Amino acid sequence: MKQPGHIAPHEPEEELLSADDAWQDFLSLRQALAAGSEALLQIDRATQALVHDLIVAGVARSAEEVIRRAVQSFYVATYPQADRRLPAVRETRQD
Amino acid sequence: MPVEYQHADKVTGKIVVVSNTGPLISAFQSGRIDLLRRYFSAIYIPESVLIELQAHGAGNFVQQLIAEELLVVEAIGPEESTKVEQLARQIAASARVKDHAGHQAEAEAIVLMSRMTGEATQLLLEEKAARKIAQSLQIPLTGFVGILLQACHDAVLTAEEMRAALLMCRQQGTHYGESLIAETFRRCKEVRRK
Repeated sequence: MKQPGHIAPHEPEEELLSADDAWQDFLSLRQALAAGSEALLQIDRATQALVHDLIVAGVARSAEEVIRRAVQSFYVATYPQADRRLPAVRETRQD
Repeated sequence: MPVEYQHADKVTGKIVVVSNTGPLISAFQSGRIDLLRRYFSAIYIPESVLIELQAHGAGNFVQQLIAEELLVVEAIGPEESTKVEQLARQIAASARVKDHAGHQAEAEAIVLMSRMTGEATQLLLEEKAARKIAQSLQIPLTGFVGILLQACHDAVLTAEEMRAALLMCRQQGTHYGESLIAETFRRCKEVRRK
């Protein structure tokens, strides 16, 4: 993490939020993040837990990264099998 | 095997937001821009916010985030300037700074958020007077402290790290009150237990 230099405060004369405001902010953000994830991950609970664990463990920074890397790994792992089938699939599509 | 969708825990993804100056300043002051990267795929700011960030000495952070394509600067169109001025005057009426020109950035952020409805899902805004106006327009709000609590919830931060971040902001002049810090520290512990 980059260490901060001195950054001047923003409008220090203005009143900022209360603890209750901050709590409402958290609930609002949590809801928005959950809604975003719901669209992203319509997958079963056990797999969601795996994705969550990977993020919390710091292996990936987001669910999108987990999915991207998982698909890339899966592609590489199954490439010999896919490589044999792809020419036939492409020929079928051209027909 | 049957697939369970109901009551499934949500996995934290990323969202698009619009931000005012203050929450970004707090993230820079505390060195927690990692949390911005964690939760947001894009942070849109109007030009007035960019100017304020640079004036506050955050130019290097801003350039870095723009290069990463995390921070995106949007122009406010001439057709929106009347609305911006109207909102700035409304904010000034209940703020301590009564000159509406001092609330240009908050007003632009609200207008930008209104324009981006459907794409951006939250407005990062922590000043009370501007928040009241945004809430009257049904704009979903969060702020830097809300982001810290989310990070506590996700076990990304401990309560002690969360408090240290707020104290760093306060040491640099950002007015997070004693009761806000104490109560948020308690709630951070609470959400981590769940």
